[in-house]
Amino acid sequence: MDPMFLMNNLWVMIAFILVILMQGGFILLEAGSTRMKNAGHIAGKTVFTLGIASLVFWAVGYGFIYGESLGGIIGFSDFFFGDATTMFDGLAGSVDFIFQLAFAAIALTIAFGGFAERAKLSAYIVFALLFSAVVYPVVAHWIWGGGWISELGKQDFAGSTVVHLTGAMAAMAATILLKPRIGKFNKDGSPNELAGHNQVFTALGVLLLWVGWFGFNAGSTFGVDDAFFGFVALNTQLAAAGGAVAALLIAWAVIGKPDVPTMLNGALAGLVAITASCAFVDPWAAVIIGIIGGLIVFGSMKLVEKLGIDDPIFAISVHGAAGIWGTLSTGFFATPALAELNGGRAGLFYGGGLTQLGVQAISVVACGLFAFVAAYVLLLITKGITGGLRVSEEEEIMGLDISEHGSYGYPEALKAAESNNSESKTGA
Amino acid sequence: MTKSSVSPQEGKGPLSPSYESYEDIKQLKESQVNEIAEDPMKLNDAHDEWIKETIALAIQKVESERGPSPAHFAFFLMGSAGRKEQATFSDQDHGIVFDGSDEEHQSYFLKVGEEIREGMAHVGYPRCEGKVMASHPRWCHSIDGWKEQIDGWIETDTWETLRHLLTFVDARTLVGETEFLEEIKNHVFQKAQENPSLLKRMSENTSYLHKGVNAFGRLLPEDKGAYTGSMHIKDVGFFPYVHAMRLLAIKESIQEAGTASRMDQTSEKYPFVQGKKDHFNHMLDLRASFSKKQKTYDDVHYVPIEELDKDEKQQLKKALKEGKNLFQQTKKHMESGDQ
Repeated sequence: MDPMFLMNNLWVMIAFILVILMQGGFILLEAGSTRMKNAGHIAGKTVFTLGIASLVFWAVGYGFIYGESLGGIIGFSDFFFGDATTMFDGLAGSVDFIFQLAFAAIALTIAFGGFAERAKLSAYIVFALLFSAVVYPVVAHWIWGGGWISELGKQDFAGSTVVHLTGAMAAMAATILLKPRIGKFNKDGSPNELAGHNQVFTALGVLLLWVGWFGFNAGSTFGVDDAFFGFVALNTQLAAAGGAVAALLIAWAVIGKPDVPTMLNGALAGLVAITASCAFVDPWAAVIIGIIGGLIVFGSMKLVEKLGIDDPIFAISVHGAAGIWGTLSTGFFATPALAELNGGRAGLFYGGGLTQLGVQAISVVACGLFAFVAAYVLLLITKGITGGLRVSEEEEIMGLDISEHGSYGYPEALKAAESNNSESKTGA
Repeated sequence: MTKSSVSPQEGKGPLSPSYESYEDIKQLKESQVNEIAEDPMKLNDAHDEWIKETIALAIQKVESERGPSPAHFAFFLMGSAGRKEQATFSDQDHGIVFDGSDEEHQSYFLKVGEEIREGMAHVGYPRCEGKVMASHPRWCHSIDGWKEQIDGWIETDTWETLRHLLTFVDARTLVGETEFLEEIKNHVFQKAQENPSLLKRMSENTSYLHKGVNAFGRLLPEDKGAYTGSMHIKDVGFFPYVHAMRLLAIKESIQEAGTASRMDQTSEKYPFVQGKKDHFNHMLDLRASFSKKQKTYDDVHYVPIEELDKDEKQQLKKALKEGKNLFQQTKKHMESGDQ
């Protein structure tokens, strides 16, 4: 067998493992960014929704994305994938399939950022099915599966729009429907700090995501034969670095303190932003894209809070705002040589005019709007099925670990607190 | 020893209480506070009077239970009360110094301290969470006991013991023998002269500066919580001035506790102190101007930035900037060891 064929397949398999490992990053990021009483739930739901996403993707998701296109809107073949002989893009079909599956699961995890600390477990389960079967596959088909946006020459190398913006729009629909967590806003609308319980977890989560992103972006080259994955990895690293530094500095300058969660979100914003453009821009542009991503995420976090929207894991800002910027960035920075290599046209700063920027903008509006509306409607359906999206006030206060799963993520600490509370309530 | 020979002297405190209960004093305070809340000077004089009346009643109660005071003593205030920089609501920070020895008399004066603590709490001064009150053995000693404790604090030289020493330096006698406190403060000043590194250590103890203005020159109010949009004027505004002037007061052996008085006495020698008093007083006035909206102890520390007009914001920014400058210049001076 051709050694290069094997190498390419091995590389994409490693990339798949890296992307699956990103779920570990999300577990730490989300658990660290939320309170102790919800930690076990947050960590556990990430694993079982990965299971749901995998089953749905295998049954219908892959077919809706990469099946025979029905008018550029949705694919419709290759359901219940299982053909060991199929080849795609010079890869074994199974390798290609499993790599794509990991992306679908990431989009779902991002969407669940909007659920944090108050959604029912049953709502997670139903929405995981619906999102994985409908929302993600439609957008992915439009851009990656030969749908109408890919026909326009859209540049989204690894999914700033497909994965991140789609997930973020669903998170936004969820957090709007669920309404803010108890205690997040005062009666006059001023926000309160519901600080996460462990910044070390959050930082480690971000670093795991950062490492996993080399599978996400560099793995999206689907091969090693021209070593282009190194260039993509370089751009990815530079944008993440730019995002982290820029977010830290802007927070320090504006709010007077170099806020750690903001800096961590800056690193993620740099990564999200470069996801679309990593194969289309020069390294200096990757730095600029990352820096702007870091600045945007800071502004977006402030704006979202000012609008009275509770975004517990900052999914709207990190994956939404930075996802939009990342998608648009190729419209400015795509070089003629890289556009020729990877599709689309050169950006505005390389004499490409407004054409590519226009395509990018259309895709942001169309995909963002579709993901939001579809997720909103599916959440209303979920609400009907589960009898409400949100746990009761009492359950939310006691925490989802105990109310939804019957055991604490931190048993010793929380059982002690619980017994103190019951003593003070009974006056014992 | 007779009662009259050791009770607080006339002119230094009430010989006998004018009110029958703490509740009466509380009523008096509540009826008067709103009228004078916007004048920091009058307000602080009134606090002194309300507290004096409370002490007189407390002493009478203890004397009726445990007999007359066994020694001359002084009751002193610390913190913002010691500096006469209290707002409408203020918690307790106080201590006692007495003649004689700890072994003989401390238990009696701790009882006095306890009664004062409870009386003041009734009148409307919350108990100090850090237990800086005459009811705690740390803050109730004979003259020799105080000197010994201060020597111990300096020798131990930890962040906590130096913080105690800094708290003590803002003491001001409210009732009783003013010479007692003066003697102990002189002991502190002497120690600082003998041991120049002490001032450096105390300067290091108060290094943290709350940011009031961001890199773009905008005021930085709270951005979360119940006080969103308001600035914690005590931490952000007053403390740089208070900390700086306390260090200079120790260096220059100044007995007065008030920040403005300390400025008056040091501005000639230290050019960087000149012109700062107006800014400090402006912030006191600014806080007082919102006194009608202040309903709790926490409220008094906050000034709602969005309710300030353009000029007031400019003035506040200038005051914050000057405070930072004073703080940094003072620390630089202290830590350089210059005379």
